Amino acid sequence: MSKLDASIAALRADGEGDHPTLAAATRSRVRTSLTRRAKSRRRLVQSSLVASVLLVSTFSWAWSTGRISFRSTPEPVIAPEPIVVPPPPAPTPRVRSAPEPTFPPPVVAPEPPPVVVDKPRPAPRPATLPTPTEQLYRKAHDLHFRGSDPAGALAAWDAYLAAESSGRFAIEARYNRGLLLARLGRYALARAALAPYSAGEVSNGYRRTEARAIIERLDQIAPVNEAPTSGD
Amino acid sequence: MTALPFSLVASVDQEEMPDLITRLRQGEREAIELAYVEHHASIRGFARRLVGDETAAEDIVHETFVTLPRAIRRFRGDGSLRSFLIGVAANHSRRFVRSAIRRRRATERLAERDATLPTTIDATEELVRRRMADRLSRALDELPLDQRIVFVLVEVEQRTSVEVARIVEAPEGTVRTRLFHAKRKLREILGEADA
Repeated sequence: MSKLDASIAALRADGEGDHPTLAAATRSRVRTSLTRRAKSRRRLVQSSLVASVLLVSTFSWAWSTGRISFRSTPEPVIAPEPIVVPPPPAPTPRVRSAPEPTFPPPVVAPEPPPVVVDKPRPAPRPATLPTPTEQLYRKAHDLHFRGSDPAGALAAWDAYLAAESSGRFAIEARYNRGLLLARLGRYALARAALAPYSAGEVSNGYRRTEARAIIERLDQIAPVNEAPTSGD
Repeated sequence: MTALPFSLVASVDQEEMPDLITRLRQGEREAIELAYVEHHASIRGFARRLVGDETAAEDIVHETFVTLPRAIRRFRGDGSLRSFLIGVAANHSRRFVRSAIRRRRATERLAERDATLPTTIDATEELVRRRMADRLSRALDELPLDQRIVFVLVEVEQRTSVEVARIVEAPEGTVRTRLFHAKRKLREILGEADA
């Protein structure tokens, strides 16, 4: 028998035999490990479930309150109301006092082209209470388009912008504010408010044409070097 | 004592209940315990011969049965469950073999340092056998793991190359090649040791 064969026989015998103590200890160890693994798996499933529920509920809340949207929707476009500038007073002899603002005949701003919305409107959201800023926006919108109090509408837009200066409707709010300032005869402020729109600096040329037309009209009515009216 | 060849022992468990496999696949704890009771001795024997270290062998047995619910998904039923479990144990053995080698070398260094201490010469048959087994385990440390596993399964456990090919999931020719290289290298090592 060679050395190798003898060693093989020795190693073969080495692995034989019962080891009841070791076997029992390892069996107990296996049992404990299986229990621990089952527990940790259960814990993992539970925490995954909780995380999923949290994720889904957060997402639903954000979706329902309009804080997220799946696709980029264009800025809400609302047909502007024609600007009616008050007529100028009858010419009076020149006096040395501060020049009174002249009121040209009512000017109707050019009608904007009809807005075509290509994408379908998102599905109606579930009825939820509007947030405070949404309420401010709705109030300003109603006063602007359905009310007859430009000063009140202007104050409402200011309130909305104070609450949400860079919100979803801020661009539209600033534009409408400019229109109201023009309507109220505060031309310098109106010009300043509409200038960024006229220059195409706002949201890739939002209302650029309309703003330019209004400013041109304001330039005709009240040149730039005209002193601001009271309140400006 | 003449040991029963392992291939014959393995054939006994061909009769095991097919529903044990199903229950193992479902991860039933009782099924795992049943498999442990039936097969732990074979797995332990293989692990001890493979790593030559009692602690590492127990770790391999533990790992084999703890990972069984997942590993059993690979069981196709073309061999015995015992052979499959030995394959699982062989797969887990890599890191345990390394730790056993480290432990063995540390023990050797310690023995060299204490070589000046008087030792009692006990030439009983058991001690001689033990020393021969240890020497082969140390020689096996020099082999790549694949060759080591094949050598233990074929030469030490006396399994057929067909069965070993199934256990290690390699062609029979590869098994024979690994065995050839393993034996050649072991002869060299043991010859050097004798010289």
